Amino acid sequence: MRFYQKIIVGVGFVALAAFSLGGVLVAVGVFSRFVVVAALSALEQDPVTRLVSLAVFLFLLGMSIYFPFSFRRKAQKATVGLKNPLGQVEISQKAISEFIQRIGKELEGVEDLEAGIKSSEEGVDVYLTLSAQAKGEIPRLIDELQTVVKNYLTSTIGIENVREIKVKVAKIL
Amino acid sequence: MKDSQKGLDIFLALIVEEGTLIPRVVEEVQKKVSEEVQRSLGTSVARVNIKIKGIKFSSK
Repeated sequence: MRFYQKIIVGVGFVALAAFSLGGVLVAVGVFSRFVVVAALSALEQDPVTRLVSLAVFLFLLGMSIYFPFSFRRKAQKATVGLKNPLGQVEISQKAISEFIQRIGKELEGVEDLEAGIKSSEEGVDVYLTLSAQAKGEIPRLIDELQTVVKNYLTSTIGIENVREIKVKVAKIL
Repeated sequence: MKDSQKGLDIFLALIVEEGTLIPRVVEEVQKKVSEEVQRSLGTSVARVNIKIKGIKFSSK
């Protein structure tokens, strides 16, 4: 997420929290609903306030429409490009993650595995979150997991520039 | 499909089976599609672009 998007999302969440808090306070009887009505009525008092409130509400409305679509577009576009002379070849990051999870879970000592992919011009980074069985040697298991994942990504998927495979051991069962 | 000066740009979305060597399959598909389109339609193919949408796993 870019910086300006973080700002917009932050503003949106603050506004949402303020509206929600107002609703909760009215619902539990701390404020009378007339306080809210009075606050909204105050927005109509003079043209400048009216204009500012219109801009704020339009901004919030625009944000609520834009963001779900922008995240959907980003999710659809999340791909890793493969080198190919005959055309452009892309593979969905979701497909690669599912593939890594599948092959990782086949290793003895791996109880559960979640995989994430980050692709940039410098290469592909893989993030693994592992639940391991206590009976196995964890460092050996991590090493084995990294080797297997790297080999599969290179040979089966065709990703040549696997830069890093980071492993986080979340649980030892 | 998109028509450019160099020929047709073809866009394909594939779901491959588990265990498939993706670079090899992609190249085979590109060559096959390119040859068939050129033979059947008589139009030259500039690029065959492929997106792998998913990997189909066999149920174990």
